[in-house]
Amino acid sequence: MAQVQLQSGVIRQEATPLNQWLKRLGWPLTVILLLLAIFIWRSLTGDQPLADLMSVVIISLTFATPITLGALGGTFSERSGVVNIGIEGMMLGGAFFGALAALLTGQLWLALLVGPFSAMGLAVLHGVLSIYFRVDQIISGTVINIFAFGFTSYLNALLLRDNKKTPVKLPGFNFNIGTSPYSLGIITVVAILAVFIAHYVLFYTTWGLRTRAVGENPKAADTAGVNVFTVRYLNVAISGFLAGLGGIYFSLQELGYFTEGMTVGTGFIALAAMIFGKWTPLGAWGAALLFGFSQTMDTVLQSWYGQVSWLHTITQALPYLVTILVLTGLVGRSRPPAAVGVPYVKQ
Amino acid sequence: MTISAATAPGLDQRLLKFIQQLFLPLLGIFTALLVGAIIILLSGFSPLDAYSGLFLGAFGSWEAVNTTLSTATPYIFTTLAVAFAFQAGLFNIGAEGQLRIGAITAAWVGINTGGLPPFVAVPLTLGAGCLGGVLWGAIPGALKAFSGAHEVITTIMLNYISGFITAFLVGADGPLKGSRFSSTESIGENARIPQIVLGNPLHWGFIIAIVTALFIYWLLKNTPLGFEIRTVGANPSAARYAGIKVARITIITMSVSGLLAGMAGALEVMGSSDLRYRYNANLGSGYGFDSIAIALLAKNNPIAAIPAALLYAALRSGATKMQFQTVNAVGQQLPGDLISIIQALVIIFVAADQVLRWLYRLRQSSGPTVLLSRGWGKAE
Repeated sequence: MAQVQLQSGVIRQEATPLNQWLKRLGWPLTVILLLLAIFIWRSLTGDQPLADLMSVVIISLTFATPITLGALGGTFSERSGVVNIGIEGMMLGGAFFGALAALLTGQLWLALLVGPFSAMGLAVLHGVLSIYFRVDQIISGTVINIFAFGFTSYLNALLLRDNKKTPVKLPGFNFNIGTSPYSLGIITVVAILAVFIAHYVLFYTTWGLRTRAVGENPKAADTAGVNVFTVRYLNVAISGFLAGLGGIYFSLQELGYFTEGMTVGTGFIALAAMIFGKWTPLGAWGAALLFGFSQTMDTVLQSWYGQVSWLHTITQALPYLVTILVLTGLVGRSRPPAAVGVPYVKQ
Repeated sequence: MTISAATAPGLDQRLLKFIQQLFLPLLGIFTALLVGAIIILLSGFSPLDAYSGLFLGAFGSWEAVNTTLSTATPYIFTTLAVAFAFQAGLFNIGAEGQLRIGAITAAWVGINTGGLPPFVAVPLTLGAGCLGGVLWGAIPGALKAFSGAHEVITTIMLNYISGFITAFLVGADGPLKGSRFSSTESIGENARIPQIVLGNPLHWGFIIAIVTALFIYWLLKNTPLGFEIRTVGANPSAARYAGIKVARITIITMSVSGLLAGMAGALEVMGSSDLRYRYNANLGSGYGFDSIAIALLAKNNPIAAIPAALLYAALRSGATKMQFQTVNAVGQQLPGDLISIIQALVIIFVAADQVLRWLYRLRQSSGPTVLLSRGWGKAE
């Protein structure tokens, strides 16, 4: 592939036909190739290749759920120009308050609202700090993370930890393929729907246009009559809501209760997915699937080949390694919204 | 008739300026404690019990002071690491991972020092720990320098990865596992750092920490390298225009930052009798974000890092007594996580001093700030 060295020293790929074709097919092609590889491998070494393949698909979709939601949230926030590092904290907040609502009231539908809305509260705090007070957005996000961790751990210790209640789990969609039963969690389905809704909103509605305008050139948007601050606040709030949904996955779909720090860095992986996905919902979903897949391989390899500790270390670290690889641009460069990270000062 | 020539600001003026600079951080801490007290009250506990317990636990006895100072030792190093990176505009959240890798490398060498005399074994072990930290810091540094990968995420990822690696190394069938589960053997006697006063947990690592802080301050203020680092932090485009190789500075800064954090880990293994001079899998948790908080509190000044770290160490070491002493009507103890909340509040009020000014209706500041957010992955 021909390479062009630009003025700024960034090396870009020249758009030859093969290159463009690969870029077009990039995601679906990679996923299909990976699945094919697994199918072939298991046909040779296992005895239920199709069932194994389906497990990998379903588990990957499931693991990708919080990453997808976090990445969607991050996309909205950053498209409007606000760096949201606090997604991890917002997820944790959503996980905790959702679990709290579910365990205290027993009404699961309530948890589905309480979780995301409390995460939204954290997001609004982030918004106020970075938009109104013009605090550095990375500091503000980090503060949200630290605060959310401490606050949820504190309340957990006070209210939930010692009251042994039975785990409360969200129902899923159960179906059978062949003779094997599978279950697709409700949040997973919501996440997939959210991807397409987000895509439509961001690229086919006035709201999405305003958001993108504010993120690229807030001054121009302001001159055109768009209220930069309102757009940013709302988008940050949306990102909190989505992150909260992602958080509920952990406490109510995966485990059924809350444990401290249960998001284990997923919020940051979601940010990497957002970057990898070029700040688009569909791209973010593809990236999330890739991360989910790498997480799946850990579980799946264990169940196929048993516990091998050094291999387990590698497969456990795989999502985090992939994240780093993605960020180095080895797997594709992307351009963030032009005005992201810079507080807007109305003149 | 004498003519007084214009001289450098007099002692009283400098003192005044110093006090002015202290004012906001102190106000921030006070406000954080105030909000903390409100939270304590709302949870049904007595803030008086809590804070008196906190103070007693941190400073109430000679033993307590010793514990506080020895808890502060690794914090001083990790704060220096974070503050140093901040000076170059880099956000090093990886202090935790760098500490771990430094600790385990030091443990590995320290166990295998054989019959070497202490004046060889100690520097060798410490050096190994530093090298481990350098490695874990240079990786995100190089990634940032060559591909623009934002260090916030890469360092966090490396934190988790370091956790997996070290958990494996001291795990059930790990190569470094000692007689106890999830930890290594104790390092040899010849590789240990002695205590300052026998019988107390405080070891010479504390003094090393103070000396290092002074050294880093000197490095930043009085050397060409320090100047280059600070320029890159203040304005990377201008730095590049002036001929400073930003990539080189990025890698050097992150390596030194990693070295400092690695030193924290190494000295913990080498000097902490509480830990029985061994590395265990729990070492390092929480240092990452804590040290960011302390660095922001100290406004990235290496000297200020010492009292700031002492404050945090006091919060940590006082927490147990605070928990013990604060019981509510139902018989529950105050959860220690309140400390994390207070720490978060401290950052909010100190680093984001705009919030404080708004709260107390103070005038706007005019001082320079380090710009941290330049967006994602852009090679400048």
